[in-house]
Amino acid sequence: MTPTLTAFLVPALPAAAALFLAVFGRRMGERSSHVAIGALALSLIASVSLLVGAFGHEGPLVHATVPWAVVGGVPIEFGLFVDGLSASVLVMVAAVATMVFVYATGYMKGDARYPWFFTVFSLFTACMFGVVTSSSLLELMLFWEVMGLCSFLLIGYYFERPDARRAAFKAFITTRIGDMGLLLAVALLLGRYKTVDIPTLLAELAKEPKAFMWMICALLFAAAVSKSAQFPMYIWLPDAMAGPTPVSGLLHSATMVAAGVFLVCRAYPLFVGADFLPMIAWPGIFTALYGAVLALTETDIKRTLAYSTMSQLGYMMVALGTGGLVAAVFHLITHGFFKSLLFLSAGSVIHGTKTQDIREMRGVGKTMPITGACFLIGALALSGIPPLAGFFSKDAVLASLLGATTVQPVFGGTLLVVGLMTAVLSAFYMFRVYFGVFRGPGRKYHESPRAMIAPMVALAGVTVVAGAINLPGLRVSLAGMLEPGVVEHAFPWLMAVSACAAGAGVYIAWESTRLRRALHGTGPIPPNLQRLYGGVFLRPVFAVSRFLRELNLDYILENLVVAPVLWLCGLASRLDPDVLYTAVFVNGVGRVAASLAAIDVTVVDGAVMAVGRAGLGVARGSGFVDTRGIDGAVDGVAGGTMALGRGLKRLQTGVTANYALFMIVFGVAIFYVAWWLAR
Amino acid sequence: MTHLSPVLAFSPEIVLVLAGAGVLCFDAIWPGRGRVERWVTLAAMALAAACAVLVAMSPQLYGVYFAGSLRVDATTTFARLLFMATGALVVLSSWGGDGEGATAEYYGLLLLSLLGESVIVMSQTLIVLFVGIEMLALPCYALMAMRKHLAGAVRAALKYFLLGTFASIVMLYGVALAYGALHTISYVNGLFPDPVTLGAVRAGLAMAAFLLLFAGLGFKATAFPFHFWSPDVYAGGSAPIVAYVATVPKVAVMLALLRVLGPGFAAAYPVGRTFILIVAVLSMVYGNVVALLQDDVRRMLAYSGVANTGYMLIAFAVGGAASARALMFFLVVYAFGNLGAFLVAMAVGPDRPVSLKDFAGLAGRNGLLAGGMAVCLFSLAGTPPLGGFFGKFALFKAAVDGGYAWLALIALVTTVIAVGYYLGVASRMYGSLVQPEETGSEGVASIAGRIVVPRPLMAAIVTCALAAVVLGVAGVTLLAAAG
Repeated sequence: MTPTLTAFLVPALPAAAALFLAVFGRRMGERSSHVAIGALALSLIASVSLLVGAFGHEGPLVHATVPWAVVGGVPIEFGLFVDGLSASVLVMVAAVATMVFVYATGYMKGDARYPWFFTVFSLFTACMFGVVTSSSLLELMLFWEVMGLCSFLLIGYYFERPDARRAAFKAFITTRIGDMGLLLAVALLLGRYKTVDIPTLLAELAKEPKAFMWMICALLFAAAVSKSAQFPMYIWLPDAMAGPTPVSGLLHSATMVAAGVFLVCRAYPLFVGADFLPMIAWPGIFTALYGAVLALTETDIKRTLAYSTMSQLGYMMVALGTGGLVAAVFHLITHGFFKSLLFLSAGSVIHGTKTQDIREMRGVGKTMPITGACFLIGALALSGIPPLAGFFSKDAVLASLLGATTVQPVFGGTLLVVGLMTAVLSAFYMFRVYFGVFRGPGRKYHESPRAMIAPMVALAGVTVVAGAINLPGLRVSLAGMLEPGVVEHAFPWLMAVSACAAGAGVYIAWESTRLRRALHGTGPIPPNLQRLYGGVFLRPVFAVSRFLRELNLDYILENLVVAPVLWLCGLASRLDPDVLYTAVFVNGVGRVAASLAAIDVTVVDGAVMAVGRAGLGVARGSGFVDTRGIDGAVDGVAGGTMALGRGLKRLQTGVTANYALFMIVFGVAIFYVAWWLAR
Repeated sequence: MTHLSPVLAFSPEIVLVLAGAGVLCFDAIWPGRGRVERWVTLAAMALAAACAVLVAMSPQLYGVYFAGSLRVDATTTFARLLFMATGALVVLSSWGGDGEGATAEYYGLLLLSLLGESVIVMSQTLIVLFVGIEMLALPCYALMAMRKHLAGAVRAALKYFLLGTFASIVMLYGVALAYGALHTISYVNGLFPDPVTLGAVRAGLAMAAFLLLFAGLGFKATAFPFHFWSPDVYAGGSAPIVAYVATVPKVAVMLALLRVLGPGFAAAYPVGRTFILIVAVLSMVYGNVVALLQDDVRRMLAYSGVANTGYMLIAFAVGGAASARALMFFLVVYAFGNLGAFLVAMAVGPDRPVSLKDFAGLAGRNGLLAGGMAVCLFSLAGTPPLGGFFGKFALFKAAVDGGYAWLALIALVTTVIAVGYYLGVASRMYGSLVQPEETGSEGVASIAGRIVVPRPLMAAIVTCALAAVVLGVAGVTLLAAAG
């Protein structure tokens, strides 16, 4: 198989699975996950083979385009582009997605909309693969948008709940605002260069004046900021946790939110050439710190992880802002593994304890030992404790910040100090959750089913060893693939400092937990308790965190960012998201689902029946010809006509949504036939 | 008098607006049972028709008005007279209605939707056409739901509304695309210019616009893939309004389509022509075949309507002036035949679904009703010497002359299928084929009793039947005169 075909299969298989499930999902019931997982496993194999091929390959491994249409003299091409960057991200996405899919078979068991879940989930995965392998910016944007749609559908999966409706709506609107940047960039570039091929565009843009490049960068970065939940567009991410946990574990930790970072990586030469890097670094480092601070006082386990995701994405951005492309990609990959591990473990805990509030979870580790161990591995990796994956990647990020100090001491120094502070805070909030939830005495819970445990264990294994992909000095490494020829510097003292920072965070968390336990046993934490443990560190940090929470910046930002857009769209008078959401989702999507189900029942059944009946009619007709001559033939024709009619009559289902769908489907089909005939 | 010419040229529409708005206002101030209003409505329709005749008699009023938005010409006059005649028949049919169906609002909305139909036919730009379609549709949605005590009517109205809105959206998108492709929304000389002047890209886009516009118009005309609403809505809706919606908007939309596409469309755009051909064939085959299986008469008539739309579309696929003439004659025949058949169905069962059983032995229970039904159905089937025969004959001849003999053949074969279900009703009415088990059921009581039909409704039915006969007897002459 050629690499091009392999690269095509990676997004095509989940897309085919999504299509298949959309039509046949209802009928397959809980077996529909088999199709999704099967397709995804094949995609994983294909991605791994691409990664192997990309090692030591000069230039991009795959760069193939097919013309799709010519509009106004501009050829619009779709294509595949796979280089080291895409291949390594592909493998991470495919591996995490496979694990999360398997996990979801256990987590979503018995859910009424099980096939629908896997349909959208597969569609999302296909789009994520599409974003990573797109060779044209337009194609990338298409996948990007559909990914946003899938995110909307999955956050709002429990659309009976008002908070889920609200969250899905908020996420969609907020990310769409940034997507406008991408759209504008595509329009500008398409108008100027008459091409959307990314490598060509990058080459062309390098010759442009800085101001123009800077503008394009700003537009692309706007899209990246909203997708990757960077300040100030992060507001949708914590609320997005209203979706099912597998969704949070795949979309809102490892893959979709990383797409923004990936976009910057993809266009990295442009960002470097335009001197745009500081504009990435500042919001990045601020988000890293801000997310970590907010995570400190959050009481919902999934929202804590959401703030943490925001913070870690900030790390990736700040690495990109200081020239650390390899560090950013490295952290993107390891973060994908350990954050989805954390989410899956959290989901397992939620599954066992039936609550998301960490104040109500006590001593879970006793009766759910595997979940506890997996969460611990994830927490250690996130904190940056050696030798887990997170340690190496976080160290690479810090090394990149350190590298910036040699050029701009103040800039780099600030970033480095804040980066180290964030490292301490990260370890602290993570272990505050770990000790609080898993350690100590507690009630008896049941360990989750094997379908959930197995992928967690597998991810934990990967998390332990994933640091090896970029060990300094190795010939086969991420750095060697992304930036061949550049020698990576290792800073042993920085490693030691970052490990100590992580250790300090863990220690503080342990002390704080012990004190709390000593004072209050297992009861809920009174809000002012932490003040007793004053000290230099805790009091100001908690104060800031609580201040930020009371400031309710989310709300302010939401009204600054989302509300004006709605107002501009003329939706202000009906600003209540529930109303809009119900209009869009419950009616729209519900109908789509109903229609798809009806096609399943009506068209598929109907077609089978119609063919069968027509066949019977014909058979009967020919029988008549044999036995009764001309009379029989007349009867046979009449019988055949009646049979045909009976088949066609089934189209009249009585369901309004079906009729609308049939209008489109048949109208377009007839049009295509006409086009084909008249060519 | 030049400054007055728009007022004169549009005097029928002005009458409709004043009467429609006046009736609604009058009812708001002095709520009543519509006794006065129905006379006002009839008078307004007569006055509007008279105005239309006067306009036709002063040819200097013919022309394009309001910066190329509306056109008054012979087609407009034709449409105005046909609309007023059918409108008056609908008013007559609900004359003795039972209160709720025939309030003042009913008449006001009917007048306003007639105005919308006039605008559809007169319009010369896509936007005005769209506005006209909405002006037609919105009163119809309300009228369909007017008999609130019938759950079926409300459900039908909602279905009609939802799908109608959907079709409008599709069409509006088509308008946008048409503007993008053609850089104009005016179709004073036909919307689609020679594709050579457009270039390949814009011509392709123009075809997409055509598809969407056709979908929007085809919805109102119940052409095959856009017809799905009609059987459900016709079966459940309020009877006089169903008769109205099944007949008059279709005429308006067909005339508008003639203007939008222009005589040269079929020759210049092979894709568009093929599309219309396929839709025509599918409509004829699907409509007639499925109609065979219907037990509910209104449903059957809905599918027959789909099939008839297929016959009408032949004129567009063939193109040219002769087929346009044939179409206009067919429209008149169809309007009276179809309206008559629906009105008979209404007379047989005003508030409930009418099945074939209800027609068993109708000849004995009300001979005039059965006779009217028979004439209308045979006209629809295309039996000589009734009007329908000449209508179909003209269309099929246009197809053969245009080099579409195979299309004419398909049309002929489907016509033979259609005779099957028309004959089914007729044979039940006249008793030769009454199945014993059919008379044994709930039908017994009604068979025994004579069906009493309100006099105005009967008059409307007789008028329809007479029209079918007259159009048949004088068909050849009229067809020649239509040129």
